Amino acid sequence: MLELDNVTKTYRGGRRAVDGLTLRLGTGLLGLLGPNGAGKSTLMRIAATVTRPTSGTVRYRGVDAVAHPDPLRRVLGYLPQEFGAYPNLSAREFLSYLAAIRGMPARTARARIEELLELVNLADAGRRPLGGYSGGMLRRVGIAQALLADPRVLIVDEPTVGLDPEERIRFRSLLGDLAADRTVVLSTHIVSDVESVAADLAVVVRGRLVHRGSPETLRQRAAGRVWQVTAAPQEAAALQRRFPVSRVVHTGDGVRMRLVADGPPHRDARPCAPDLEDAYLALVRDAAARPGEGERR
Amino acid sequence: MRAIAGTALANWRQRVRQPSFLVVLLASAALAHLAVPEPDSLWVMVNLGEYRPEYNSAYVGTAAALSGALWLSLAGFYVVGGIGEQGRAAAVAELVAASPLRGWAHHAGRFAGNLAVLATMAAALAAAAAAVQWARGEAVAVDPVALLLPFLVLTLPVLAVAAAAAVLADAVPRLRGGVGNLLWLPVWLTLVLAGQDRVLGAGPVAESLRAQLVEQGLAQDAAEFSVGLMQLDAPPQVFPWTGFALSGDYLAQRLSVVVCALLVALLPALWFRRSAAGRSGGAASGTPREEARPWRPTVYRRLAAAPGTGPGAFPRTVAARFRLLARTMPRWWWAVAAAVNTAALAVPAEAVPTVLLAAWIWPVLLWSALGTRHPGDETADELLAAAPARRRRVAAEWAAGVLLAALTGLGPLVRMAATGDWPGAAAWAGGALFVTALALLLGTVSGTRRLFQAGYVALWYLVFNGVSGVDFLGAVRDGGRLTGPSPAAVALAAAVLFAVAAAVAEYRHLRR
Repeated sequence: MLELDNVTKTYRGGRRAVDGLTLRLGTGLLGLLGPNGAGKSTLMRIAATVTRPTSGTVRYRGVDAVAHPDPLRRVLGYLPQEFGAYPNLSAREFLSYLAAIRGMPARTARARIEELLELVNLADAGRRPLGGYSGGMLRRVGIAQALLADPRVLIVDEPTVGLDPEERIRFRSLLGDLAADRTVVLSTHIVSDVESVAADLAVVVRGRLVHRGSPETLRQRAAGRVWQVTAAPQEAAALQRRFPVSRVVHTGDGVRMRLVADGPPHRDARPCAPDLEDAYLALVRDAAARPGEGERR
Repeated sequence: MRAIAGTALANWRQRVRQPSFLVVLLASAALAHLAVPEPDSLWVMVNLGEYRPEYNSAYVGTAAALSGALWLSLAGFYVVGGIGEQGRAAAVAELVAASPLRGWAHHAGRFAGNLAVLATMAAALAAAAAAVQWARGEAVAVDPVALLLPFLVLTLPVLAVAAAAAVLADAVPRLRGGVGNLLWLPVWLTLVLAGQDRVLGAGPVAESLRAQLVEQGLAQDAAEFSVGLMQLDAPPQVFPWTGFALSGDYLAQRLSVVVCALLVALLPALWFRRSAAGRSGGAASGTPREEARPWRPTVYRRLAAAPGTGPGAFPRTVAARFRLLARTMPRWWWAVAAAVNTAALAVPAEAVPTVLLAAWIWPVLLWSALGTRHPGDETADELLAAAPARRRRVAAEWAAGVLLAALTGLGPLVRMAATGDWPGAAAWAGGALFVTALALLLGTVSGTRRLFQAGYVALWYLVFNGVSGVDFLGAVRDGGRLTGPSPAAVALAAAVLFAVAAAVAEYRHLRR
């Protein structure tokens, strides 16, 4: 449905934010993971036709979305990472404005806005100026606007920033439901955001795709490399300098750590089954150590 | 059409709901009192020499409409400017860029929104004009058609030009923000001076007034006519006037002004594609983020204690604020400032005040940042507001502005000191304090840079034209002697402005 082929984005000064990345997206939810600054947001902007790639192609249903972005824009819902709004407008007015520029008929827009405000639990606050909204409320307006036109392609960039745990769960579940019959891309650096909803993962490091596959295949890549160690504080600090650490807990017996290493990092190290966070950490570490390698799919 | 209307409505709502717009409306209404002054007033906005028409609806409407066309177009540009900047700051532009909205529709919507805001100001002026007509009591019966028609044919086309100019300034990256604001004054002057007939549309009004003066045997054919703010020697005599005729050609000409304005507003559609946060174009632009090294849980080791404040905190705060101000300008900007200062050392002594005038228009964009908050600076502002140095920060901001004034006006000061022009040096000091205090106050009150940019440029222009009453920097001389207010009075005014700015900042903090 949406195909990004060998896409590169080079910024002024020669820095590559996205480097020859190929991604094919169909129906379902893709969790796009990567460290901060890995190029996820640039990739999302390219996919959302907000910015153009320096080279490479973006196609939606076979149509070049760089030269002819309108077919994609008409079916696109997009929540940028830095979402804001005109502070003197109410949520209803702001959504009404965005519905108008999307060409939605007024009556349809009104009904849809009410529906969406209910969905994101803002029906009571819908007439208040957005300037008085909390960060989480504003994010929910962002989610509502992304769903305005019942999009066939939904791209959400760090959507759960500012949401409380209950809202995060609700939103993740909503994304999972939506992905049943449309393309959803969820970009985040928070592993738990994608763990429960994404059957398909892509990991981007330094602008390159370093993994594409199911969470299980990512976990398998770290099999036999995750260890648990309890050590004295000085020893723990030394271990932490040498190995990526996914968890640290201070206990009465010392510092209990969970870390990634190719072999036992300590005499008392015990192997553990990797979870997604361990596997992601191992992958990012490997990719950073071998920057030339990437995966293309 | 719905997309254009939706954009216009959102822009209009965003503007008119700002608390500062109430002040704008009050100022617009107050303009009616100047346009239709007290019968014995010596100040007029429509000048017909020794005469003026009776204050009936036709004349009150015409005078208020002409005054509105002139002054609301000047001020209105600053009122409606920067909506795109707000949109970019709030990342709304990114949502617009990802929508199927066409570039021309986006700009047409912006233009319509700007015009709606300016028309709201004109409506306030028209309503006030009706009240003023009634209050003056020369012709109590208000004829709505005679009163409002001049606004339609005289004011709205000129406001359309200002609305279009604001759209253009917002769409051209180099004109965004301060530069466009600075350029608007000379552009507006050119339009209203050179285009009194074509842009302002005052030709038929002048012809009608002159014709009726001649008909009534009160004046010769070439009676003077001008629009602005002028002082008369004596209160004008009243004569009856029934209004000016609207010919088809005239209406077509007024319509053509609106169409031209619309075309100007649509110009950016030629290069506008996806202007979200300036990321347009195939060649990649913008600043990428550095990839962060993964944050890892660490074993906490105690950090070294760091003292909060100590001696020298104020100079350090001033230096920090100055660096924040100064680093926003490129090297060439500083090179020009240095060149102007060097010129002060080379020109004849009597030209030094003029060089100072030139030197102190140059930092206007930097001064205008005093007291304001950048869209992305809220967090920093919150952090600074919570710090023990919060009150000192306002003073440090002023001091940083004064330091900038001192640096950019150093050449003239050195020259004045070298030639023993101590009154000039005192005026220099008063001016440095005044201009920065004014910037701090306007920035603090409005929260935006535009108010100072517009107000200071107007003030500077008056000084440039030799209006000694507002000469805050000692540039208007008579045989080398200062003719403006004394430097001590200017410094006192600066102190008052600073005190008000500090009080406003403190009040805002307490209300958080």
